[in-house]
Amino acid sequence: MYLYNLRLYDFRNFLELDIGFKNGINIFYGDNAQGKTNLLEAIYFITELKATRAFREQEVIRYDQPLAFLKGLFSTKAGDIDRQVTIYRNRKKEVKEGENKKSRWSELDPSISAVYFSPEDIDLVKGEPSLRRKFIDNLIYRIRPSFYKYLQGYQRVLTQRNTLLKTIKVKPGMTKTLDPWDEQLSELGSQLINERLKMLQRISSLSQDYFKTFTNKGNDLRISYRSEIDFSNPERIKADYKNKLISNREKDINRSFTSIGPHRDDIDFFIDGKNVKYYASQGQQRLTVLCLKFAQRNLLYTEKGEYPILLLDDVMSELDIHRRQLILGQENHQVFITTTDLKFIPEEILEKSFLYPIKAGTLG
Amino acid sequence: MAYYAEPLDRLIGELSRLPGIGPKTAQRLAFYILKMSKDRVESLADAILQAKELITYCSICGNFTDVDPCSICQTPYRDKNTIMVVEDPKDIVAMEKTRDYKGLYHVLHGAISPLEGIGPDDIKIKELLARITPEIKEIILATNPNVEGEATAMYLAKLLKPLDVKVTRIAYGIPMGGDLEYADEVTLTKALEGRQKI
Repeated sequence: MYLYNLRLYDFRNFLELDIGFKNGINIFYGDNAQGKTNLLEAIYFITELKATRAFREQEVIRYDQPLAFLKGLFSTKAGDIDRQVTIYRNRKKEVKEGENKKSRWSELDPSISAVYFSPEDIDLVKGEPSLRRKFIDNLIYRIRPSFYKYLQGYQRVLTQRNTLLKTIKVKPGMTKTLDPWDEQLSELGSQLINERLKMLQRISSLSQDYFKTFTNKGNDLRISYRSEIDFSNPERIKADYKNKLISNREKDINRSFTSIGPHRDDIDFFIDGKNVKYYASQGQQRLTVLCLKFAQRNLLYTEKGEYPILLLDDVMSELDIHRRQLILGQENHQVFITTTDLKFIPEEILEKSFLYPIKAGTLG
Repeated sequence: MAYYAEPLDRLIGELSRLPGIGPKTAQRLAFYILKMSKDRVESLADAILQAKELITYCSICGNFTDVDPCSICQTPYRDKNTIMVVEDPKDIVAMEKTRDYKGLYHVLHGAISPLEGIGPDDIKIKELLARITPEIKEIILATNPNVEGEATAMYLAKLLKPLDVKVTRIAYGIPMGGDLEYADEVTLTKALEGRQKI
C-alpha cells in the first residue's frame, strides 16, 4: 500500500498543496519551520485519522480558518482508494472513502495505516508508564477492535471501585459492597494482562531481530512486562489479582485509589541485561524505540497484508551514518523522511530516493 | 431574543426535559399539540395527570400499578415459588411479552453504582430479603449485563447465599436470529462459558 497523491487545504501552515508521491523513499528537505513536519503530519492524519502532536485535533486547522481538508489517493493490492478528511473547528471531523461517509473505524479500508517516528518518541522508553501501556493497548486494539470492550469495561469498573473507596472513607459500612467490584476488576484485569502478554511476546521477538540487525553487533534487546500481579501462569492471574485486591484493601481505602492492576503496570526494556530507561545512552534509547516502531509496522503487515507507511521525522541526524544505511538500505516500501540537510542521507539511499524541497508552506 | 410566545416557549421547554426528546422534537410536538382540538389536548393532559395520581408502586414487588398489590402479584395461577429480580419496571414488560415466565417479580428500581451514589440501601434490596420465605424456591437475577447490573447481581448472590434458596443468573449469549460472525468477542466468550448440553 502506498500514498500516491495528497491534496491539502488550510492544514497547519499550508494554504493549498497538491503533491504526488512515489512508492519508495520520499524525502522532504528544507530549513526549520518551513512545514516539513506538517506535511508528514498531514500524511499521518489522512492514514490514521489523528494528529501527531496536537492536543486537540482542531489545532491542525490553519490559523483563523474554519476547516482543514485532506484528500489522499492510495494504491492497495485490492485497488485504488480515495480518502477525504475534513476537520472542522466546531464539529466532528468528516471522513469519506470514495463517495461514502464513514463514521466508524471498522468501516474504513483496513489496509491503510502508518507508523510515525519522531525524536519525541524517545519518551516511549524514558517517559511515563502510561505511554507504554497506551502503546501496547492501542496496538492490540488495532488488531482486535473488540479489545476496546474489555478496556472500556475495566476502566468503568475501576472508576466505580475508586469512587466506592472514597465513599467507604466516610461510610465504612459500605466495605461490604467491595466484593462485586473486586470480582469484576480481577476478571477483566486478567484478560487485559493476558492480551498484553500475548502482544508483547510478538512485539518483543520482532524488535529483538531489528535491534540485532541495526546494531550489527548482535546486541540483545529484551522486553518484559512488569506487574505487582503474578502473571507467570495465565490461569492464575485472576486469582492472584483478586487476592491482592483484598489484601490491599485497607491501603486502597486510605488512598481512595486502587493501587494494583493493569492500570499501574509497566513495560521494561533491557539491552544486554541493562535497563534501557536508566543505563542506556540517548542513542540506544532512540534505537530501542525505532525497533519497537519497526516491529509495530511488521506486525500490522502480518495482520493486514499491507506494509504501513513509515514516517520518520528528523531522525536521520540523530543516528550515525552506519545505522542510517542499515535502516534505509533494506527498505522497499513507502517511507517519508524529513531532514534539514540532504547530507544526512547516505549517498546510496539518496540515489534511489525522491526529493521534495519544502519552503514556507509550499513545494519549492 | 425569544423566538416563541411565552406559553409556547414554556411547553417546548417542558417537553424537551423528557428523555429522548431534543429541542427539535419538542418543537415539533408543541406545534402539533397547538393544532390539536381542545378536547384531545384536555384528554392528553388528563391522561398524564391521572396516570401520575393513580399509579403507585406495588407494595410487594415494586412494579407500577393502579391496584395494590399489582395484577401480577394477585394472579392466583402464577408460580409463587419463583422471584425474578429486575432493575426497572420496563424489564417486567419485556419479560411478560415472552409469555414464558410465570413466576413473580421484584423491581430494584436501580442498580448499585458508586459513581451515581447508589448503594445497596438506595435500591429495594431490604424489600427483597423480606419476601424470602420458605415458600420461595428460586431467585432469578435478571439485572442488566453491564458492570453495574453485574455488581448488583454478585452482591445479591452473596447476600442470598445463607438463606437456603436457589439463586440463578440469566444466561449471556448470542441474540436469536443473529450471526455468530457478527457477535463481539466478549459476548462469544460468555456464550461459550454458558454453553449447555443438548
